[in-house]
Amino acid sequence: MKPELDGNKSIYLQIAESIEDDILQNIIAEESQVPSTNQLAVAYVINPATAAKGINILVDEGILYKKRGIGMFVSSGAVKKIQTKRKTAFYDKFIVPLVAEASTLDISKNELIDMIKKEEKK
Amino acid sequence: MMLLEIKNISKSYGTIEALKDVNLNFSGNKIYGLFGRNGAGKTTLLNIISTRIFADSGNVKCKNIDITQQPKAIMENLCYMPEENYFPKDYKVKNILKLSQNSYPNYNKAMEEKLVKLFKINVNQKFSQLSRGYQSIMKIVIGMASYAPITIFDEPVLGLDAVARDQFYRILIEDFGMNPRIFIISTHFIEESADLFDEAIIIKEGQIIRQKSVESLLENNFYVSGKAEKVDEFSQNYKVLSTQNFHGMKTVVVEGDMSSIKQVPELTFSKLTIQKLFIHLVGEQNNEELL
Repeated sequence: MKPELDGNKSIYLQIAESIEDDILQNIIAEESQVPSTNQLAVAYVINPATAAKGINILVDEGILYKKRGIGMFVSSGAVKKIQTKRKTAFYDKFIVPLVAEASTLDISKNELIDMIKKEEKK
Repeated sequence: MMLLEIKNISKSYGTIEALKDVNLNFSGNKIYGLFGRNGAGKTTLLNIISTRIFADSGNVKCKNIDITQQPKAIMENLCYMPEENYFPKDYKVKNILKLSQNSYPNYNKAMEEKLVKLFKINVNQKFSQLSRGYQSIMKIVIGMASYAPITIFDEPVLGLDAVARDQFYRILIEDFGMNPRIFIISTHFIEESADLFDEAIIIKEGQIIRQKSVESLLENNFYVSGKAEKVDEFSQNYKVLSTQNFHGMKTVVVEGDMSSIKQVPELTFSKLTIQKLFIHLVGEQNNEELL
């Protein structure tokens, strides 16, 4: 769970992403319960409807499901789903700005590849 | 059935039009933020809802009953904590709490005690001896404990330090989650409280200029910045709210949904904060040019 939300992105998207992060890092395992809308609202001091909007995105994507009368749970296969989704966004979110900044700094393609290799070795 | 509905309200004081044809729907148990500059008409509006004053025209309905005809219709559903202090000055805090318990049908003593403890209120002090901050806290305690279906706070955090403001926001959200009701909260602390609200109501010179969720307000405007000619080229298809020039760089605020635009090289697009948006909406046009 993020300690604090920031102003750069819609609050409900940050709620959804923060739960996804927890699932990817196995802080919340598949088939276990996620915090309720009200718990999220209190934790981040946000309107419960906003928290619900974030949760509902994940329900629509099949990452969470509702157990009637109990609460929201992580679907099995959720990790795979999130990985697939984020891989699609990876290019726009990381590669495009990386190449743009490298070009501004006059870093050649080979230098860039060397940097990636160096980081991989760590 | 709509608990609270405001139709075509106007109110003048002499030649000054405090409210001009105000229409508002409070469609459910939500937290409504009421934002406006000093003198925009916030308090006049709240005073009309609470039947402390009456509108020149239009009507306010509570559960379909016109409250001008039957003030009781709203009074039994309402707790209004105005900005100015209306408690008897020589009363002790504990007497004011007792008085409140008798005034509001759903009053919850346990909530009162919880808040008295949380805010470390000395109930034996006279109200007039309380600091500005503690006078605000008293209103928070009574408003929260009233459990009135319509609870109105006019500037509840005035004079409160950052810790106490945060405590109020937390209590509000925690309790609202369990016991939803209509909250109408006017505040100048827009940025730090924006995430609390279901809907923001923005009032300017006696008129409601926006009533929608904070999220959708923010999705409706964005900054474009870059070289002046590039910005002009882009923004000619948009309504421009404000312009700022700085060393050949230009930044404009335009109306539109940022997520629907195609990115343009050499231009930077970014979201406004709610506070900045508010300033652009209710402030003087192009005020930054004066800097």
